[in-house]
Amino acid sequence: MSPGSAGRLERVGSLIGPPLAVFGALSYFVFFVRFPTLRDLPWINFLILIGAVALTTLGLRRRPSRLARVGAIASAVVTSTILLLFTAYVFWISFLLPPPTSTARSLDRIPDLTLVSAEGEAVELGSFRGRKLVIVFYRGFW
Amino acid sequence: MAISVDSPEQTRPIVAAHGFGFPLLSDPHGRALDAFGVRHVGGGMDGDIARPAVFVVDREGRVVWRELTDNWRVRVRPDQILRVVDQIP
Repeated sequence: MSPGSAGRLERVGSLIGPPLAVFGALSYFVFFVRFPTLRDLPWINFLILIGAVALTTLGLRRRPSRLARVGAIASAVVTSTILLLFTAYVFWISFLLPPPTSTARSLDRIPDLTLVSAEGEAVELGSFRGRKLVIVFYRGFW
Repeated sequence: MAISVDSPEQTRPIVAAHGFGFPLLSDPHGRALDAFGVRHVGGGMDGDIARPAVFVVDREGRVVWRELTDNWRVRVRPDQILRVVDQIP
């Protein structure tokens, strides 16, 4: 990187960092979550977020006035916080599930239950005998 | 099939929008959650929901495969489930 381009990044890093971090976090839920490997390990989002933090760090280096320095610090704090929250979501919050119960781990036969279809009709699980069945419990959204 | 604690009124527009080729069943009282042991107490905004889980069942109603993830972001891949289903006679 030439000294000139580094200087430009120092000037604009504090401005670009926060919106880039917001994009880096939100694009996971809006777009990247559709691709299984990128949903499981969101490395592209982490790259964008780390890039955003690096830009705000560059922005801290050269500030002509006190006000600009305060702005650069606020920008770095906001951007780092977004990276921290996203990291917490990926490596901690999404693991906040109760452990599998012994029933779930050892269930041998599906129970006889009657549930209601989206059309409002009663559906017995036993009525699927003779067919292979995949039963998915989902939390919602995706 | 898919099972959700949402009411038929809530699932109907989802089925209509996506045109699923499988039934989306409602379990508003959580009976299936307990029968399968997948209740997540207080996991939802309005009370209990399911922890994510997938069960593959053979033609006699026996559970032959299950996936009980420990991370709600990480889902089993459809092709993995299809491989299991293909192995059932």
